[in-house]
Amino acid sequence: MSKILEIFDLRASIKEDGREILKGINLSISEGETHAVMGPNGSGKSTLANVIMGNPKYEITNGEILFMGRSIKELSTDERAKLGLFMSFQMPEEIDGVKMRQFIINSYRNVKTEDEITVLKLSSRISDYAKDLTLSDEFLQRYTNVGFSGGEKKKGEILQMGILSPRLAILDEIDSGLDIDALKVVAQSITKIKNEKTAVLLITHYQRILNYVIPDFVHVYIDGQIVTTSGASLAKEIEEKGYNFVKAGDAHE
Amino acid sequence: MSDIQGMIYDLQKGQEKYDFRNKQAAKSMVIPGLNESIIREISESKREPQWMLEQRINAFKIYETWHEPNFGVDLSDVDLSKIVTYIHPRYKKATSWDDVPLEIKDTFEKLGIPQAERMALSGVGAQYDSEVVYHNIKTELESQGIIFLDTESAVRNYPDLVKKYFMKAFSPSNHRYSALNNAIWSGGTFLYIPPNVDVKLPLQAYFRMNNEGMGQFEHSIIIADEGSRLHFVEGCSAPYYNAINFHAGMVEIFVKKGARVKYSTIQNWSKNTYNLNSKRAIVDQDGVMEWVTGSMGSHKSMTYPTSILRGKGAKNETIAVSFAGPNQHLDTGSKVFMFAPYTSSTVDSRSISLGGGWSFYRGWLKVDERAKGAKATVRCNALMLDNESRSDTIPLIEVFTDDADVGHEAKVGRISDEQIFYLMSRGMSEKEAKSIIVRGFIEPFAKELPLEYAIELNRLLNLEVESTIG
Amino acid sequence: MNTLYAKTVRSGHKNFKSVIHEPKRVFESYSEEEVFKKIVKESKNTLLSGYQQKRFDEYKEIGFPLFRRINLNRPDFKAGNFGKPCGSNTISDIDEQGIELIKKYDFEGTDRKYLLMAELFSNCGYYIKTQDDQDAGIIKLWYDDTSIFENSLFSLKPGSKAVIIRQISGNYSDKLRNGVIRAIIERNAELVLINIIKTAKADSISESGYFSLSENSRLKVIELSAGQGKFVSNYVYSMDGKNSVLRSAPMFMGSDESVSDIFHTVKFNAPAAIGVLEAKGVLKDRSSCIFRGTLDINKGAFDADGKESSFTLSLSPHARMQTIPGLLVAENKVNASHAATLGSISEDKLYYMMNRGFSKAQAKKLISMGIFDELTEALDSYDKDIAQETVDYVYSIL
Repeated sequence: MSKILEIFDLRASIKEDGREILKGINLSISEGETHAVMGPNGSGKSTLANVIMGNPKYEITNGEILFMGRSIKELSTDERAKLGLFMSFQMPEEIDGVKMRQFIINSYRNVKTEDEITVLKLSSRISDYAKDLTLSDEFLQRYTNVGFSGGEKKKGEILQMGILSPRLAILDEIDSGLDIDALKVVAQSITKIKNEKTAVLLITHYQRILNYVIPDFVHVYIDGQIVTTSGASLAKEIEEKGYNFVKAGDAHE
Repeated sequence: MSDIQGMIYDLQKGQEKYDFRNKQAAKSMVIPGLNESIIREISESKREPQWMLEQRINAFKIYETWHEPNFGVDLSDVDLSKIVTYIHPRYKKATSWDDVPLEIKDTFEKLGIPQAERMALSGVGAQYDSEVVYHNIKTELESQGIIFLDTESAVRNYPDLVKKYFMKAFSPSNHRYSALNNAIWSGGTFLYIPPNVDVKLPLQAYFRMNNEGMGQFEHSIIIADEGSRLHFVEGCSAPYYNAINFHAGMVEIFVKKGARVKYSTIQNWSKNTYNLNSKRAIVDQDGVMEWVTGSMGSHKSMTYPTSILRGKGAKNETIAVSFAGPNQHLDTGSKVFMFAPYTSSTVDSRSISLGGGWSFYRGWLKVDERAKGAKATVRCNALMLDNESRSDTIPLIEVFTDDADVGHEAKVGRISDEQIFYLMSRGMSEKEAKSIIVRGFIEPFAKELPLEYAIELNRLLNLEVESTIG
Repeated sequence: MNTLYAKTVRSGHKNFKSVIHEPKRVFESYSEEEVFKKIVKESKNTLLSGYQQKRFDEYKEIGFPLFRRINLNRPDFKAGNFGKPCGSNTISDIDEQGIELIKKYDFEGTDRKYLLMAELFSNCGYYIKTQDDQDAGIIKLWYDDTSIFENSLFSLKPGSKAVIIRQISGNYSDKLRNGVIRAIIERNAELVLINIIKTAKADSISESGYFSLSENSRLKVIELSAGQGKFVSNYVYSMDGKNSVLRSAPMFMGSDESVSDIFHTVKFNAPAAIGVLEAKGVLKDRSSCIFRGTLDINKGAFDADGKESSFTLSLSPHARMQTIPGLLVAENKVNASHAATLGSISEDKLYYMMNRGFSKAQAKKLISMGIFDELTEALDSYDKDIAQETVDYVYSIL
């Protein structure tokens, strides 16, 4: 199986004040795998996702990120998106005046440049996908993320992920703020793309979503480093015992 | 601006009476060569009735002695020397294509403007041939009793109708440039819609006969009689150029009982122009006036579309967008005067400044004692795309009654790094991301325009944003 | 002396100029020269009189401004008592440091004429200077009705704290009461300034203020201006240091035929400053008020957090309210907004209260009192007597 994402000894700091957040991360994701990164709140898990995606707020001070074998450290965010990387935002930005449907169509055109599908077909695909997520057509007429409830925002991100069908989907706390029904619907979509061989990197604090999206690997992230890696059962242990008990070597393999 | 007493006085008593503010000639803004006999020649060549000539002369006297506006842009660099040549009846208007600035020609190219239109937009040679377009709609309009012609022809063919409305929304003593327009106006649109006629097609100045390109001192009058509906569109987003860089146009609109008028303007005068524009609507009982104004061009502009709500239940809706780019100082705003009970107004003003431009919003909302039960809201939003520009918002809100509900809010902001990161993560380049956000910002304005204008406007905006941000 | 003083309103950007309204002026003589000579002769503080002499020339050259909205009484230079101390810490005891501050922070005020006048002819005024890290506690400033030209300076040294309460009660019978105050708040220092200004029917009061905030300093200004006379004020808050914090709450109450013209400007000159300007007021009878609140954010003041709002409750069909919220921005990485609301008490609210046994008049009073909550609560924590007096006063006018 080919490697989709390889991270070697990655260190990164916040540009503005130089504070180091990532302190030497190693991670390897192969095609079709689902990885979960779990950790206590405020430890910088989102930073990992943002650095992979090229958020200009952060600066890589050491290490390498390879996507499908090539280094992406120097690429701008849109270039990374065009290669097949997708990140769902924890707090998606409001883009006033731009309707959701149009926004998704534009994104598709940018990311899937070789596909000549007609606007009509694409639009219909978007409507179908939205329906699967229990979103109405009216939802697609609203301005992107403006006035959306927490659940609507997350579903909106998943909708975009579904249409853009990336090679690696990084989901940053996709489960936070979702009620049980919304969670199930979102999990279904994630499972769907898994079945299409998309690799998934799920960043989460709670174990709940992992009941519906079974990970191949669970990594525990504490204070800028991955302290342990194991199989799906690790998640259950964390739920029972909290993050404190996890130290390198303490968890069952 | 005259004070409120003067304004009501003007409206109610007819404007033949006024007072000279000071007898000494105002030293600034003297127009070389302009005098009474030139004005007589102009009036004669247009075959105007006596009352129009008298008005012109009167207004000219006021212009000469009136003071400059005590706010707004600095006019000391305006070149007034060519004006007389231009307005003189013997003037041959042809400019040569070689004189048109390169920047303008470039924009035409990028926007894909057809060659013939390019000539018309830059005042070169032959006029835009509107004959064909005009004939197609002419029969339709005539069958509904609509009068639609250039103002000069209207003065000749419908003198009584014109006299009833000409300079009745403005008086020459309102401010110096209303006096100037009254004195040397030429061209413009005269539009009369009979009662209960609903004009389904948005009318444009382009459509009428004798359209000689964008005039510098146009005077347009629109009368929407009781219960009628009209959408009129003026200007276009492609830049237009003329050798005279000083414009003082005027639009007077009369919205009668129960009528509804929407007046859309996109102004993109070339970047060396000084644009002082006067636009006012008088709205009667249950009438609705909608101002849709986009200011993108000119070096310096002063334009404040105004609604005077004098009938019970009259309504004003304004949506305005201004775009101040490099070397532009746009002083724009909205004035709403509420004089009757249950009147209402909403104003949504958006401004964008970038590349060193200065965008200044100056609004005036006045709720008079008589406006019981009035409701008014004003929202101003400024988007500053970089740190070189300025965005100022200084509205005046006056409420002279205890039975009104008035709110105003304004915000200034920029495109956040987070927003750009979000859009880039969806495959858009940084430039594209900024353009999308800017277009989204003015979307409430763009959606009020006929489709072809909106499309052109979007293309123009992309050009402006991408070239300045680079 | 040719100082470049800080003008309140900006008039340009890059190579663009803007047209600013200048009031017409008239020249009237009140034999100021005579009076001034006497002041200088009798002055026991040569630093102060030396400074004043340099300013007199400029004062002579400027005429009295004719404001569009308000007609102020003329000053009475014969009131005398110049140089008379009104309590301890008077301005006549000003030292060299103090004079330097006054020179440095030169500004326009309600009008240049009035500012200079107050400085030249001051017959009362306080010079309050703290020590480093000192907590100066609560300072109550005393004025009587002969205190008509005030020049005060509050110099808060680094780390120090003070609460200053000024009570200006009207009854200047046809004279102009003209005051200038400056507060220079250094690094980490905190000042709370409470102004209680009451005008009697024939009074005219002009108040000019300049506040400079250094890094990490804090300023809170709570003001009540009320009465039946005329009141003009111009306060400039200059956020000169990083992370400085301002809260200004000017409150006004108009009754009878009072006229107020209140102009507060917050100038953001350093990064990450927080400036909140929230005006509130009630207008009755035939009173009128114009409130101008401006946030002026200069280039370089990134991360500024500015909020301006004005709220006016009108209790009479003949009251006139004007508000000009200004938002001037030259730095785009900021959080700035302004808002203005003008209205009356809703019928629903009144009905609800009447249902609970209040008469309409009582209901109106109670709701209006709520507007001055911030003032009464603050006073209550510093001086219960003044607090009670103020509450009674406000209630009686309402």
